[in-house]
Amino acid sequence: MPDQAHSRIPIVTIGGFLGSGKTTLINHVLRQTDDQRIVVFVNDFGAINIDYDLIETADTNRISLKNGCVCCTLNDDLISSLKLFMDDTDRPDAFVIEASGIADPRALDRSIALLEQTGSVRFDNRIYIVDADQFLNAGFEDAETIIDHAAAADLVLLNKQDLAAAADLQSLEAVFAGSAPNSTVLHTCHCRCSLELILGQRLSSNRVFKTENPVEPLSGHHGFVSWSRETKRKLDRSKFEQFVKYLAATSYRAKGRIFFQNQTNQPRIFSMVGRRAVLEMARNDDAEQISQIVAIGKANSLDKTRLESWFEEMLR
Amino acid sequence: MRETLFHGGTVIPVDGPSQNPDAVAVREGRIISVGSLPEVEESLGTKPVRIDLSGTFLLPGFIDAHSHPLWAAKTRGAPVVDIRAETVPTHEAVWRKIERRVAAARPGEHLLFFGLDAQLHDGFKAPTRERIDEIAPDNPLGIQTSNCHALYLNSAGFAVCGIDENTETPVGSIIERQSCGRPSGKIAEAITWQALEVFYEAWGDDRLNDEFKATIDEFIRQGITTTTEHLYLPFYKAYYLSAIGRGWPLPRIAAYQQAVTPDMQVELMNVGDDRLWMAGVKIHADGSPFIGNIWLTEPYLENEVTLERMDLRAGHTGSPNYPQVYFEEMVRNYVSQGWQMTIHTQGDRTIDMVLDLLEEVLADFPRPDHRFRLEHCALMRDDQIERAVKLGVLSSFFINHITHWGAPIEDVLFGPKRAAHYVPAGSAVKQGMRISLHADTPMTDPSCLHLMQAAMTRKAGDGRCLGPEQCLDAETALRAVTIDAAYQIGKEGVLGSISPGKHADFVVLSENPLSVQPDEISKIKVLQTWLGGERVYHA
Repeated sequence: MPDQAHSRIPIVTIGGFLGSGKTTLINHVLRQTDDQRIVVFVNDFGAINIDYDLIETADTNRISLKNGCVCCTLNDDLISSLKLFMDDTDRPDAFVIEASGIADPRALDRSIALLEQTGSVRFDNRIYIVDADQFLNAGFEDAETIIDHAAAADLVLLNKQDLAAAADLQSLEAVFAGSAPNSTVLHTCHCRCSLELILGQRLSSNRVFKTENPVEPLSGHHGFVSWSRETKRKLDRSKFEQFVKYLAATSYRAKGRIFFQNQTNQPRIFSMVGRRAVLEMARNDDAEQISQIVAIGKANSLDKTRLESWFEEMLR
Repeated sequence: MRETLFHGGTVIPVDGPSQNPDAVAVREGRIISVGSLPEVEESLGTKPVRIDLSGTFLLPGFIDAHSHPLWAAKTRGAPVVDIRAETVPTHEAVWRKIERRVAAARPGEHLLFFGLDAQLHDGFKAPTRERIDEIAPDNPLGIQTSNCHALYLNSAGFAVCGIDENTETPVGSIIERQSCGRPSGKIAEAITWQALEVFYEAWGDDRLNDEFKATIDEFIRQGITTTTEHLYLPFYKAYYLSAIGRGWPLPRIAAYQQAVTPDMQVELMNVGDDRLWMAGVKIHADGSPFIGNIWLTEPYLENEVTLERMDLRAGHTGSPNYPQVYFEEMVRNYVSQGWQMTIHTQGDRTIDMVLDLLEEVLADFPRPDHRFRLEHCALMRDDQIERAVKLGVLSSFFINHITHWGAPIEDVLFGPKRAAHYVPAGSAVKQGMRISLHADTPMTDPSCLHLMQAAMTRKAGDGRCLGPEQCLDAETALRAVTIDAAYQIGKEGVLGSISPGKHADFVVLSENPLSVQPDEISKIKVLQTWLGGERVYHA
């Protein structure tokens, strides 16, 4: 896990064939993030349906919102637009980028991976949306393209599950389990899913996590549960890295504020999505120096008892 | 008379006497002057076509010194199914994809899959003939490794390729067999490429021409105006002539004919004004490090990948592809015909053998300016570089091994010490060698900007740097994909720099590769490509 000198802006990409539900997901994200500043890049303004009272100003390539901004990438160079926002005094909390419905989202991944090397952004989450209703009607070539793209994503939404027959959903599930083994697969209608899965959890300095009730269902969504712990003890770096390996095997996303032994009192912010994890330096806004970890995973794979014992192991 | 004037940007001539020129004049496909705008304008008539570079950068067209454009079209273009680890993440996922393709196949349809990878596919297990037969009992089916050197076939595949228990293993090839002599699934080296031709032929010429056009376009889009066809076979000529005849923007091609026997006809070929010519002969002294077919002084590491997935014995040091006597006969024969030799060498013991032989041959038949080349040079040692420089032998480095397979090279194949000296371009330059870099397309995608970045950063996919002391500076890396690459194909007089008299082959870039951060070079955009004074690509 590389250490970073300062907190970088997370980037979330959303891919999927035309009509799979990318715009629906973006609308959904915009409606729910009232306390974060999100900058969204889309291919086509026409499809974005923004609540009128959210809009502050609008011009040809940019709509400014109270909680962020939507930009059209059709005419602009994405990378230079991103750079403009990074230099902004009012830095966004996250970038959300819609990949073109035709292009290979892996090409976008490569540009972002390059941008990540500049140290100002962090590739956070790659989401790919599959139209569960249409997938089985796709010809061999299209189906394989969808599978290849899904295999490169962290989170795959099998969307429009309500329109697909149960047996079809099952065979779809089997296809992605075998061919996109590193991706987490989630069934959705209208791309409805917890915002925490998309943008990540928020750590608060007043520590909302309840240690006495460490596993709680995520506001009723899709059999995902969250788990959290905190401790006043400083953590051993190598034991923590071992713990993260376990964590990655059982959960989809995790975040934490960590105080390590033998390091300054400056905490590290820990972020994990799928198999990627990073630590970044953070400001110390916690006089008590309490380390926190929160994880989200599928109910059938996030094993509370084992996480607890691994956590205890780490503290020993 | 067609005249063109380039101005308004930065000209990076790479070589030659011009100091900070800002204009270039072209007449009838050749460069006639390079210098300041007033000087250059004087060399032209009154009505040249003026190309305003608008602050961008004009460089000589890129040269990739070892590639296979036509073969790439055959190997990777549809209907070949891409199963490289960057597309299909695990071994299990590979099988699932093969099953789905077989389910969609017509009766008897020939099926090929490209990119199986013992190092990069998690859970890799070498396929057996029986395992593939279970999935595909009727269709001829082949699975080619990402390094191109091996192919796994089912029974129908062996049948169409005419390989059975009575087939003698050709010199320089491998057929793995059961104890009764029946081929067990895997074939490797030269016979692989012959077997693949059976599949390509079954798909017909239309398919190949479409894919060839797509490959050519990709080279041109990357600003590559000259490359080679290593492993050229005589029947390739028809496809190349057809491409030229149709007016496709074909990069200039230096052909190196594949030699598998000492008695092949190598045609004296020279088409157009440096468009397609026979430059020399290519021989495989050894094979691919990723399947254990290279010859080493120190063995491979021993671990699950080498012992289980690659099925190597403990202490494996490999072997050359051909018996030494046979190899020597081939080399002597083609050297005596006057050809430039380009010899595929990866393992250090192979390089010892090849240098010993070249030293003897050159003592017997001294030949000034022979420009014999060693290709790829994965594990070339410093003492071998010194010897090569003394003999006038040149190295062309397959630097993308670092970017694509850097982690397994260090962790599971050769260990940190050999990894830090893998494809030692830095050592070669320090000892005064004029080197070139290559992508070996279809093994990796064509892009000279990526080659430069790989040679300057030596960063593997996971971000680690393999041997920082082997990193090249920007000028050297740029020379290795322009003028020094031109030298290695014997065309430095007409290609590789922006100098009067040379072909007007240019690339226009959005940034200056000599001044951006090494990690940013591959982000530079290719805006235009010019071939023989004509614009053949515009972003």
